[in-house]
Formats: sequence, structure tokens, C-alpha cells
Amino acid sequence: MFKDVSFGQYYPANSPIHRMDARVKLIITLMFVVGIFFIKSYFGFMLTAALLITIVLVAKLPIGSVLKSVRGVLFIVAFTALINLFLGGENGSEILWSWKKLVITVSSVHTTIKMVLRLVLLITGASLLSLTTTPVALADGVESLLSPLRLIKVPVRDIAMIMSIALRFIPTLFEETHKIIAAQKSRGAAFDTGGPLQRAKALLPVLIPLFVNSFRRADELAFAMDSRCYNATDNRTKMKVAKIGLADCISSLVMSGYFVVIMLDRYFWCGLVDTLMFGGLV
Amino acid sequence: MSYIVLKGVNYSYSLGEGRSLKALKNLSFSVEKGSFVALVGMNGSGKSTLSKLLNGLFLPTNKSGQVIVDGINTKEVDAGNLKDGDGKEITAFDVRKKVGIVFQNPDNQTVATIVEDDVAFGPENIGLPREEIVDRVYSALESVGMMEYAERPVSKLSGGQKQRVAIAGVLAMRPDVIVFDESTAMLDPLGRREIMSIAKDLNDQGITVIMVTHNMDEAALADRIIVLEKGQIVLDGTPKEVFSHDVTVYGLTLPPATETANRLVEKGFAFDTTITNEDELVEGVCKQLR
Repeated sequence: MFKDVSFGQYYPANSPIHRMDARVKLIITLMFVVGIFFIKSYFGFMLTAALLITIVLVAKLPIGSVLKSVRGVLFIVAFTALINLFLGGENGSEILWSWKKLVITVSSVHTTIKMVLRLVLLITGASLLSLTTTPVALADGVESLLSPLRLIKVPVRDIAMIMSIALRFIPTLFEETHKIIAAQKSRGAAFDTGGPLQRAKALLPVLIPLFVNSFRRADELAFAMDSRCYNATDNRTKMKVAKIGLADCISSLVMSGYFVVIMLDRYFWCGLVDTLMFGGLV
Repeated sequence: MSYIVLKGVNYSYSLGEGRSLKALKNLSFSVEKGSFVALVGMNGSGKSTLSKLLNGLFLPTNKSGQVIVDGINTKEVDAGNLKDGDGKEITAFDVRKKVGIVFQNPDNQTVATIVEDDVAFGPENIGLPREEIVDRVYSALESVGMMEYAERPVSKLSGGQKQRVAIAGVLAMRPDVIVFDESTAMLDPLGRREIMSIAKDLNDQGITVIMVTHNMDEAALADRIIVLEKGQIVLDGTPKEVFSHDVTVYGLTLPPATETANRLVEKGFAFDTTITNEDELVEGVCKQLR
């Protein structure tokens, strides 16, 4: 049920992408996430896919672990696709199929395809960040980017610590969930039968022990952190200090170029490239 | 020289509504620098509570109770009225730098995802310069034999390896004392042996080791065993002295070697029942065969 969730899991490899400054990666990812919502043309999506494939190749990530993160949101993608298929069409578009009030038009098919592409690319792109950045580096990056907020007394260091601990415990809690499910199944609990409501109810005996254990874990972790002198003051130093390098400059340039092309495509070329590439299809 | 001194320590947990549970009652003992002490006792005997008192995570709940670590009274540290030679305040961190604890569950004491980041956590907290942190992290990983795993995620390691990382995390603080709070309880026999041999090595290097355990085989390796029952010390001495008593009345078992010797005596053999380990047992059996 929760098998192989790779979102948020670091994949260690020796690549320029892995060595990049987490702050740069965070900003680039943010640009990517904003940019993808401006894309309206197939050309834009092709460009995005090409960009992501390049990153995956440079970062030496196995394609399987990248796709796993998409698998986790497959249901949401499918659901969005269905809604768009029936409701996403424009008025006056050619009708392909209809039954009572449900209508599929040429334009709704296009909207659906684009929506699916957008979601899949979005999730893939975002997961590249966590696959290539250690949680500590990520937390340090967030801390550094949010540090101006310390002026208005936001506890930025604590927030960064909470974030990195949360990421650290994702695999531990998944493993624990598996164990609890196995334990409940061995005592006759049924998770795979019945309607959706019954299945949701069957999860309750899993969630309760999971929560109780999480509190116990938190308690023990607090003792361990206290014993190792945890404090969120300015006295704290860091073993790894991020530095901006060549890879950061190149990737920032590439990303800015990508962003400009996306904007040009949307506001100036207005689908021209699509018409040139795909002819009358679009 | 006594490094840790406990004087008349009580500890009670508040259960709410004015009720409380007395975990430790009028406990007094001291631990010599460089010794290897085993703290044993049944569940609920107060041994884990005691280990948390040793570095000031817990403070004695009675007024007269004191825990003194290398001359520092943990209660006065908490009240903030101790100063060092330069007039700087001595804080709880100064005590925790001296006494590190390795806890039971390896999963619940790792803070970072990557091995080296986790080992660096303590040194980062006490504000060491970068080069010093790197130095300490690698020498700590070296001494627990986890160097090649430095850049691996902790979640992919075995239980014994995770616990070795936890020991490295404590070692990177360069403590004088390491308390192992049932650190082997959740490990397989191989993992246990690894941790015990690391503890023994560290003790040979001059670090004081306090081993909280209910495995008598492990306790037999110590120089001194303290047996706790219901928050009080009932036996205190060398393994030979302790195991010459009937420890089963305190809910403990004898080490397998001692147990075997006792059974041989029951069957009419003339056998030394003060032995505590396998080697002595083998030696004894060989003598009988001669």
C-alpha cells in the first residue's frame, strides 16, 4: 500500500547536480514550479520534459526511482484527468462523444492531456530536488534563504531543524507502517476488501499505534538531542558550508533561459511553435 | 579518583493529581575515572532513570540529592550559579560534553539522514570550528569502523551499524564518560558483540564506560556490577562477588558460564562457581578432564 514511496528520499550519487548549492537548487525548483503553470503549448511541455531528462542524466539518477515519485500521485492525476475530460472543454469546440450531460470535445481532450503533462512534470521536477539534495543541505538552504525573516523574530533555525527531522523520519515511519499493517493482518485485519469507507475504517487501527509510537519516538529523540547539546542559537556551527560553484552558475543560466522561452512562448509566440511543429493537429 | 558522585539521590515521576512514582530512593555511589561499570536490574528497577541523571537530563527531585560530575553539581548548573575560572557560566552543555549517552533505539537518536551529518550534530551544537568538526567526525567514524559508510543514508544501515553511528555521534563530543543505556537490547547477537567490543576498546583508551543492561553476559565483562532493585542498590562489587550471590531473587539470571558451573557442582563435580565467562569455564572443564 505504501511501498516504494521515493518522494523525499535522497539518492546518493556523485554528480554536479548533487554538489550544487541547495539554495540555488531551491530557487531553481521554485522557478520551475511557477514556470510550469505558464505553459500552454505542447512545445513548452516538450521543452520541460527535455530539461528534466537532461537533469536526470547529468545527476546519474536511475529512471525507476524518478518515476516512483509520480506513482504516488497517480490517483490524483487520474482524477484530475477525468474531471478535465468532461468539464474542461471550451464552448463551441467540436464534440467527439456525448452521453446525456457528459460531453467530450476536442478542446477538452487537449486540456486533459496538458493537465496530465503539467502534473507529471511538476511532480517529477520537484522530486529531483529531494533526490539530489540531502535533507540537511536542504534544511540549511531553507534556513539561509529564510534568514532575513529572523529580523522579525521568526525562529528560522528551529523551522529548518524541524524540516530536516521530518524528512529524516519519512523512511522510518513508512517502515513502521508496514510492520503495523503486517501485525494487524496476521491477526485477521482486512485492508484489501470492502468498499472505500470500510477500507478507510480499517486503517484506523494502523494510524493509532503509528501516532502513539511517533510521540514516543519524539520523546526519545528529544532526550538524544538534548544529550548532544542541541541549541538553535548563533553559537551553532556547520560542518558543511555551501559554496556557489560553476555548476550553480551554469544551471542558473540554463534555468533562466528556459523561463524566458516559456514566457515568450506564452505571451509573444502564442502557440505559433505548436502550429509549426504539429500542423493542423492542435 | 571519583569522576561521578551521587549523594542521596531520589527521583520520582509525577503522575498527576498529586500522585508520584518513586523511581530512585536515596541512591549514593561513585564511579571511578576509567572504570567499566555495569548497571543491572529488572525492568522498572530505575536503571534508565539513573542513566539520565548522570548527564543532567534529569535532576534529583529531593532537595538534598546531588549528582556531581567531575566536580560540577548538575543542580547548580541548572540554577545557573556556577562560573568557571574565566567567569563564564558553566552550563548543562559542559556536563553533557563530559558524559554522553547512547540510547536503546538506534532509530530514535539519529537526527540527520546521512551518517556523517548525524555524527557532526553534536560538535556543530557546541560551536566548534569547521576543520575541528571534520576532524572529529572522521576520527569518531574510524574508531567505530563506519568510515566507508560516511555518506550513506542512516536508514539503509543494519541495527548494529546504526548503533555504531550513534556511538560515533557521542564520541565526536570527546566525552570522558559514555553511558550505554541498554544500547544492545534491540540488536541481534552479532550487533551486540560489535557494540560490546567497541565499548571495551573505548574503555581501554581511558573512557569511563557505564553499561546499563539486563544481559548478564555483558555485565560479566565489567570491572564492577551495580545491581538495582526498586530504585535501590542491592549489590555492588566485582562480577565474581556479585554472581556469588543468588541474583535470581532480583529478577536476574546468572551468566551462562556461572550457571553451568553451578549445575556441575550440583551433579557432584568439584568446580569453581565464581567463574563468570566462557574462557574460565573451558579452563575448568579441561582441569576436570585431566
